[in-house]
Amino acid sequence: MFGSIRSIALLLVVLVLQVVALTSPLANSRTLVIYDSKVSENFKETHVQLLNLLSSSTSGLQVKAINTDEETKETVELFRNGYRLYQNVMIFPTRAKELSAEISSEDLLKFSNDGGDFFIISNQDGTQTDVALFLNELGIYPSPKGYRLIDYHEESKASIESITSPQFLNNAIVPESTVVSKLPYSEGASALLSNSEYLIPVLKASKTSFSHNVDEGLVHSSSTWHVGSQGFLIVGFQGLNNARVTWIGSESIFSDDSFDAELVASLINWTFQITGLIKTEFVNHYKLVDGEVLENDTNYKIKDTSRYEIGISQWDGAKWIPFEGVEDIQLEFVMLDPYYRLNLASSGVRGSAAVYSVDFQIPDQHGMFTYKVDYKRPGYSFIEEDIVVPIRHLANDEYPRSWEIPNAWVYLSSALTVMIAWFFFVVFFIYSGKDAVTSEKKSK
Amino acid sequence: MAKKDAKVRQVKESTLAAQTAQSPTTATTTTTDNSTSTTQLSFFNELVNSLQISYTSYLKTVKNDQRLKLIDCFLVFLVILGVFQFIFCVLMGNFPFNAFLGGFISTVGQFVLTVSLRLQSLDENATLFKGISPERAFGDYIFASLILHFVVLHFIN
Repeated sequence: MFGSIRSIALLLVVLVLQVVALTSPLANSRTLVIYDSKVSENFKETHVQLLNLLSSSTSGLQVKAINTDEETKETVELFRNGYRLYQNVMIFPTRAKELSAEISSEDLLKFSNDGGDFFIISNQDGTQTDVALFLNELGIYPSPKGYRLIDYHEESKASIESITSPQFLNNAIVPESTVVSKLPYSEGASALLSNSEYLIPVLKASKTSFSHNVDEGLVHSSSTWHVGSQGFLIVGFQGLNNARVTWIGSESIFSDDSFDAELVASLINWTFQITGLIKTEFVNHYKLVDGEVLENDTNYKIKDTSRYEIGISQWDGAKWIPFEGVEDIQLEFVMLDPYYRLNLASSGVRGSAAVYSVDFQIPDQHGMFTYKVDYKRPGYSFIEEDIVVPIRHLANDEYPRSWEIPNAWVYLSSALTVMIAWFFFVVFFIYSGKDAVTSEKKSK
Repeated sequence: MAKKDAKVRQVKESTLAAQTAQSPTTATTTTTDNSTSTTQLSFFNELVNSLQISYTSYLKTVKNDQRLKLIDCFLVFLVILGVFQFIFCVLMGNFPFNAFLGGFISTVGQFVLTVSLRLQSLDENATLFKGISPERAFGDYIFASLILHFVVLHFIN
């Protein structure tokens, strides 16, 4: 009796929590936080706000320590029996040789390929080898152990402690409304990026910064990792499977001493599939005859008019809402090359989806065409919708008759004139004599 | 060179005149007059002169044959109509190309058939078309023309 009441109360609490906090639409959003017990011994006490945030926005939060003594050792694994155990994994900096006996850099890659999300935190002591190898695969090259992030124009210290009024580069990840006057970034690392188009820079290192290997002594090209704004401090990554990875070079903003709730929530919500999520609700194409939609007739022929519409919705943290106010969605009508590349215009809301549509004339070319919408914007889920349709040529009774074409009137009337003239010629020929003179004489 | 050409042409004309002249004419005398004065005439005058000769001899040929006159009138009409269509096509573009081909080919085809009829109805060619009576030739002509018109109408669409 008491047990059932308690479970109902628990259920109510859970429901209330779900209503309040932004959550992911994914059924499974189990989260694992990995920290090094040697680096931060009292992790659970010093990161209360972060863990509260994670437990309210994701389900089944697990916090596991690595690099522990033998007696308190936990098994840390990403897969069990070939199945992914978590949706989200957050890895704090570690000095351990390996994350766990069960996790290699291939496992990290497999986890990401399978759709799992990573939040990876480095610091100036470098990045654990497996994690670094995984980041290198994505095109993120964090500075190795021994490099210090220095900016003498900001602080005359051996390494910077904070960044004054940082400019965030992506609105979808960190909204413009987020204003941070001083971003704590102590013991920070910087990263170089490849030119991969799936990387989303969020924060650049300042123009006057550089990272220098203190063991090398003199500052020259071989002892610096990055110089000026070629370095990055926060980087996002989204693969073609929409799995996300975020890398940040300092753990300062996560500890309770210098917790930046707004920024941390933005980064975590984006990484763990809570914000920046859009999806296609429906894709339709119709044949238009005199502006009227023929619902069930998609048997296109050349030069028909077609209407294409796509419904896109956005996750707002609790439900799907219309993804409105976008002007850069394009439709391509492709057969090997795009014959058209058209801007889709907003045409209202249907259910939870904003509808974008365009009417256009199919080109004078028959074959297998593809309606293609390829909407890939940094910070949002990738949308790629292909519909292949056959476009037939005109049947032989669908060409205009000659009398419908003014130019053909000349030729048509000429041909008819020849026929009429020929008829009279034949008549005259029959009734004409061989010798006109003799016939005249005879008649006389 | 011009002199040589003129001589050749004169020979041709004289033979033509000899062939076609059935009634006594003055053709031979005119040609001899011409031959004496060729050296003084320019090329243009020669051309006009020879055309005149051809024309007069032609008039003589068809003078007593109503049917030949009728045929030739029809041929001239077909040529004019064909040239008109061609010029129209060059100026206005060949958009209904099948219609142009239909109209143009109807004049050309009718021209060819009518020329065939003319050849068969000439008395001089009677030996060439042995066993084909004028009635049979005319019947063939009507049959072929009907087929031509049928095809042209369908091709114009």
